[in-house]
Amino acid sequence: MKFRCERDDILEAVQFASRAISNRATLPVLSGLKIEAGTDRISVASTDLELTMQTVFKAAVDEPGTAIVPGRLFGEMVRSLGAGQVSLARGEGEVEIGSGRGQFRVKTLAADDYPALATEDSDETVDAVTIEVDGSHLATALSQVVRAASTDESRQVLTGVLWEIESGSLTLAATDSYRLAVRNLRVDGGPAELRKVVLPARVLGEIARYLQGGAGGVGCSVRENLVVFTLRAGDDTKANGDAVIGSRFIEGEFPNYRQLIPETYPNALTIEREALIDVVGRVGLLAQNNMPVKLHLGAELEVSAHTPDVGEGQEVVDAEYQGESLVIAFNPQFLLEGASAVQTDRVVLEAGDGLKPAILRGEGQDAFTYLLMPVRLS
Amino acid sequence: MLSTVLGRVARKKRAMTSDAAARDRNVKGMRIAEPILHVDMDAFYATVETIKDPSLRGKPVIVGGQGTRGVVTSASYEAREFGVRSAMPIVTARRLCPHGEFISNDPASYLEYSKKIRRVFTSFTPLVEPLSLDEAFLDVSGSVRIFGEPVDMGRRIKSGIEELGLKCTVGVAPNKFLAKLASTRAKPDGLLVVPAAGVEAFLHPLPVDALWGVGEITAEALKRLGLRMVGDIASISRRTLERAVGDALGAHLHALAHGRDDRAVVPDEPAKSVGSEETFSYDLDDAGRILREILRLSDRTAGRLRSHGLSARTITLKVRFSNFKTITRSRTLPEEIDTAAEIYSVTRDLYERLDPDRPRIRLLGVSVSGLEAGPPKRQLDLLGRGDRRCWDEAARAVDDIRSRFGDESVAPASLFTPGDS
Repeated sequence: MKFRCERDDILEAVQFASRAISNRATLPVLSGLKIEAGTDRISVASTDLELTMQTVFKAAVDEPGTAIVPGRLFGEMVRSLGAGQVSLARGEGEVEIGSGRGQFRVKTLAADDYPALATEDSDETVDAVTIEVDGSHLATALSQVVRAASTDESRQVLTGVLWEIESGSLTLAATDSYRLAVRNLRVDGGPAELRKVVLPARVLGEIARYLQGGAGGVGCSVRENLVVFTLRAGDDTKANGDAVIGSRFIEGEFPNYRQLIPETYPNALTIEREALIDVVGRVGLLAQNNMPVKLHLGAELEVSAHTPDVGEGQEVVDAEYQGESLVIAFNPQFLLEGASAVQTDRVVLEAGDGLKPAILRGEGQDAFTYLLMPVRLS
Repeated sequence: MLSTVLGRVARKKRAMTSDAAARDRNVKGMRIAEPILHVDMDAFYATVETIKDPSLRGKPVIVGGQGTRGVVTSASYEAREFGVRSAMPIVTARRLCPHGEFISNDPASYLEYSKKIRRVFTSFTPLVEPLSLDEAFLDVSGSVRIFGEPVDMGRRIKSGIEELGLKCTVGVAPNKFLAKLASTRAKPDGLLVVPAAGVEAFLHPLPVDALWGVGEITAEALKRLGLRMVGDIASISRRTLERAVGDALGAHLHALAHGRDDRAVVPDEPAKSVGSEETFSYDLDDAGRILREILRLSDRTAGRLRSHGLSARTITLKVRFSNFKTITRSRTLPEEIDTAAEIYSVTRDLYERLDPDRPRIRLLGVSVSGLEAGPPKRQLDLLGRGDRRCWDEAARAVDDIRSRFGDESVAPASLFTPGDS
């Protein structure tokens, strides 16, 4: 293996691919980064067996081949190199890196030990379900849903996001059992029969992160036990090509979230989204030690909070309200995350009573639903 | 009932025979004749509710449990005009005052205002003895050089309380008994001084049941002797009174009727922890038995916590071994708890982490601190996950059963040994 490339191109690729390297690698070889030179492009990849991240960039290849380099050290080296051309060549049990007047040799890991990448095509690719999604739409949807997933590993399936894939439609749902976020979006393709998979929130966080950098379409290929995302480079003129992220499913039955969403509620508050976020943010400062913020729903919205030995606050904001006046209390963080996930200027908060889940939606849209369980007051 | 009264009398007697420091309060030569204040808030909970919601001001406000078995805990003076009284079933109050504003208890707010009131009191004297959230005795004999006469302090306390939006009544008198009697007679929004020279004039025209310790039964017994007014009691000899109602009660009533009460004002910090500990008659060495005792203490602590209407975040286990080595271990939780199951899950874990080798345990104690008013707030769960709500409901049921059938009537199954009926 021997090639020459621009420092910026390899740096971008290495920084992306390194994100699948686990800090607590189960196998020593998984701390490595797989570099593979083809005819005119270089692939950089890593995997922790659950998550695989791979990308390619154009380079002048003198000699195709593969090397497994120690991921962290190689990443730091590439980052510290000066701008300009970089050369890479594999020697006996090491790679030689040349940059300007510098020469570096780094011991490699055994290429034979490195597991086959899940992202690479295999026989099962044939009957995969595929859909094509707009990258920026997917980025928005992920930002709305992923944070509702649980971080508590004791119930693994809740650390994931449910993907319900149908012909022309994708529904994402996540819940930590205190709130539930559901987002529906249009897609191209998809199976005639509903397909459900649960993907780790962590992986989807990586995809959202990548897509925020601006991206074209995203292809999703659902295989027997994993999904492979192809994140198409929006810009053909760049040296860096498509990025590929492969993720295994989380096993287990995701809760039947549809039955949790109440059909309709008699009480609905409509309010400027920014105003709600501001007031809950301010008053919420005085809801410490797990204290909730109280919302008095009425012709106006009164938000109050009180933490013994810390302080208290209350503020009234304008709102439109239909229904009986009622008091409902929430974890301020959960309420803020729900309100910020809404994409319209005004949000609608529907509530049954102080003990039933409230619904947060954007005014006049139903693609996104945020269900929030109240805090029972003492 | 009778035993409670006698219990009090017995304590009273001991207090009187002891050297009464309160009788001659001398501050650098200055003798204060009326150094004791009794401050009692007027319609405390109801007034706090009107501070929270000023639209309630001037309306009949009735605070209490709103369920079918709820009772009135506080009624505004507007509501009292309809005959509504504290401790009355809420159902009765609704009948008497159908247009009243019925409001659920909000212990957190009352506790908070109670702390504010306490700060007003302690700005005049450190000798504050709270009787409840809304009532306290103050001994101001040490503060007169700074703040002036006790009656002036009474006025300043009243205006300090008014600044909080509350009203109170102050009794100023030579001792606790008279101070409390004075505030009771001056309600609401009053200030009454019982001067040392005017004690008999104040006391003697009052009916006998104004005396502390005189309930219906004693009042009836006194009436049969023709003793209707406090002055009547004061006019007969102590011997005669003792023969009529018994030695202890007779001596007690004789002293009170003459306006004598030597109890000191004992500053009392509000409870910072609730708990239960037990020294065993023989050292425990069986692991199963030790855990059962920890469960028993956890259950008892949880019951006490709930009976005070509190919840707690810090759980402490105390273990004393046969060699008197004592270890305490605590854990603070992110959320408040109030059930035996929750406390035991922590105390058991604390014990198991101690992992004593061949333990011989002399004493075990379980206590909780980091107290909050009211039952725990709960982030409710969409998926109905966890069994906490079940435990909450079970705990309320246990409290109900125990309040009707006694503390021993229901307990965790593992505390029953075969053969128990």
